[in-house]
Amino acid sequence: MTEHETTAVGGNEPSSTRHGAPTQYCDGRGLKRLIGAGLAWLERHQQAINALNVYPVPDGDTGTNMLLTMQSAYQEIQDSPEDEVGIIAQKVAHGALMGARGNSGVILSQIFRGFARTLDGIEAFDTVVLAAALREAAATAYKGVIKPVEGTILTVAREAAEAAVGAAASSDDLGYVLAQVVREARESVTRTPSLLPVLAEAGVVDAGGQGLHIILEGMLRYSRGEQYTVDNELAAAMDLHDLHVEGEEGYGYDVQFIIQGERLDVEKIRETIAAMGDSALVVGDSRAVKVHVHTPEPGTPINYGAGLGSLSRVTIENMQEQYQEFILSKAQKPVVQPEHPGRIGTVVVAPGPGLTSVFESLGASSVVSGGQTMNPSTEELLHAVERVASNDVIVLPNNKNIILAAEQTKELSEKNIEVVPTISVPQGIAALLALNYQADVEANARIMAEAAEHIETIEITRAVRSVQINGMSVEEGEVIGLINGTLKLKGTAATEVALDALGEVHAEDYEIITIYYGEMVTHDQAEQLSEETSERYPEQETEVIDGGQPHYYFIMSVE
Amino acid sequence: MANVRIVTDVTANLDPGLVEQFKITVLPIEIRVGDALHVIGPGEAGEDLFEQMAEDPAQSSSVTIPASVFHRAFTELCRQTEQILVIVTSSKLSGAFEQARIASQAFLGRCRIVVLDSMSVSWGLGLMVRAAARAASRSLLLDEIVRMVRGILPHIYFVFLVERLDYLEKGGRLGAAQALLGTMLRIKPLLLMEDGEIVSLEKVRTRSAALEKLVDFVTEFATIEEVMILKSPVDSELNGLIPELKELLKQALPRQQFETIDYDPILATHLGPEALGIIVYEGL
Repeated sequence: MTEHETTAVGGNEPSSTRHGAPTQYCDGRGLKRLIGAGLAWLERHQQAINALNVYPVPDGDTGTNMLLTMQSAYQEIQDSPEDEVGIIAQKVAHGALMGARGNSGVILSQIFRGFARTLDGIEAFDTVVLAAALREAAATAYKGVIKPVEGTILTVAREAAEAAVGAAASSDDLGYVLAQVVREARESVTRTPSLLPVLAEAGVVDAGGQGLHIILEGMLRYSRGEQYTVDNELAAAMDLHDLHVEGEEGYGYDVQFIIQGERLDVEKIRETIAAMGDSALVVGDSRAVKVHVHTPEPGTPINYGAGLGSLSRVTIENMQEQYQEFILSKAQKPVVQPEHPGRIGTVVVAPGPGLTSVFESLGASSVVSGGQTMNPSTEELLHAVERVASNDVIVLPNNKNIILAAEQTKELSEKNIEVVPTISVPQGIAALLALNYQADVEANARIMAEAAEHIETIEITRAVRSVQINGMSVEEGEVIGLINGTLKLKGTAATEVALDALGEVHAEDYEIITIYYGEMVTHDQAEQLSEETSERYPEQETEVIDGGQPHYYFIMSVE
Repeated sequence: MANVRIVTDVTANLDPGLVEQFKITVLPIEIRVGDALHVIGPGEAGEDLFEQMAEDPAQSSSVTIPASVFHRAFTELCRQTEQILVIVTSSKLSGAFEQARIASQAFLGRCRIVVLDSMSVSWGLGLMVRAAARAASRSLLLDEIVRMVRGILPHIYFVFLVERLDYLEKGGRLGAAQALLGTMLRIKPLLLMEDGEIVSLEKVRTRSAALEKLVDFVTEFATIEEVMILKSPVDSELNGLIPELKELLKQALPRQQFETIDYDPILATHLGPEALGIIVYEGL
């Protein structure tokens, strides 16, 4: 699904060309192109922004998260013929909100939200309105986080808005004002390390701030006459819950899966799958290919895929049902669910099949796949919340970078939602165990948050970049150990780092050591760690569970 | 008019002197362990049964008092009184309540028999029976006593930890929605008897958390009239928690007495031979 949008500078162009007269107004079509241009420029810088992440852990990367958020925003408007800038801005805000992934994505969506609020009912903006909208955008973003931190995207948004206000006071040329905004954003980004010491130590600027700067810069470049191309492949590939509703007929099944194998021929798979149905989407490389197709016979593509390699994340959905759900949601009618009065539903985020089973076995109502490497979007979390058959829902994000997106669901759903801000899988498990069926949802949120705090989390993974942090110098590829989310140890072997970490947390003072081993670890390796742990801590119970999580050798807890 | 006479089952755990004094009829309960049927009468600890149950959770099975036993008891009492109050183990755990009702119908017109579901077990049931017996000895009328017992009933709370869930699961006494069996982690569930039914309250993994939950449960009451710790007569890991549990409870509530009794083999068919519970009566 690659879409090319080539824009000539014409009658509706949003801003001035170098040689033409200054542009004073930007209407809906203009804003749409600006958003497209910002998105396109962000796409080109995604990896560079990812590389700015301070932490060397495999995590939902800022560049990717912001890009997915922007793509979701753009999808809302790409086919819209709307002239009114206020309506386009609303659509952008909605798309960004639903597609928001990771903290940076959520903050970006807040920026669009504030922006849209100012433009509500406005046909086209001039420099003064633009400046006001940018100020409101920054203010909304600040309000969206509980403890705003300077030296982040928030600072960049605020300072860029201030520059807009200054420039708008003396000019009615949108191009000029935008240029001032971008200049200030760039400078603001370069100042982030002086505001946030952790950036200075790692020798980087803030990734989220840089993301915002890049989006604004893409807009500026377009306003100066550069063309852009939007490549939506990433969004399509990653958004499992993307609804493809087209026309009234031809509903069959929506089939999705990932083939893992060797020497997979993506082109050939794409051709074959395309012949099996509509809306075929096949992306990937020689080792993993993601397939998405609408077909009346779901078995056909699945059998074909299974013949090429091992399948994972297989989902089959009846599109007629989806369509109805979609229509209902569009009509703003809440989908009526059978409800168990008094029961509290739980939505948890978990990486890996093993951990998913653990959460399910403990009674989680819904498990959203995701975690360290893939942060689910607000929309995915919202879907999960809506599907739970109770009105009171507790969400356990189990990752620092998912908490904000989880918080967003509160405003989007009619349900009574509490987010317990768990930052790791063991915290999520401790919280879920503490769920008290007798207590109400608010009391439970308290009880569960407290239970989560009483557990020590150890995570063993591999550094994905070389970085200087917490006084430690870590080389890419080294095994690193995090304790309660803070990098504390490094080494060459996962088992050895895991044992060191147990020493560091004084496992001898606790009762139970639980080891969830990841997909990179064999059962034998896990057993070996288990034996060594039992030997070293004979007084403690050691439990080993196949977590199946990606990228993390071991996730461990002591309690 | 003669005083109301009280009928209960053996799980009420009554002192023999009290039974004698208030002329309480205590009916034995039949349980099946393995292939053998055991009739548990007053004062039988049944330690050997606990051990048998520990060997094979699939073997112990449920419990009742047949209607014929109630019928005989009612026939006997009807010669002495026109008012009988039957208070038995929770109908969610035993068939005795239903059997008593069936038996009582034969006496319509001859003798008033009210059958009450205690929605409790063991010492909790005993507490209601004692109160009813005392009231009867003061010549209160049947309806007055029934009202009084119904008043006590919602103020009795029973929480417990079990070492293994298969006893509850096998007996079908735990709601399927509780989703406890088949959990991949070793957990100790904290269970609550609510409206006579066993429901999962919380799940804990560590000894210390288990202790904390039990202590919290007791200390959260604004007032406590009486409290009793229920333990297994056979050695278990949970019994090992008792000294510390008492210590913590005394620290929290220095004026309260914390005594321990063994729970009976009948309750053991539900909870298993390794369980630890606390019953609290908060008073009226």
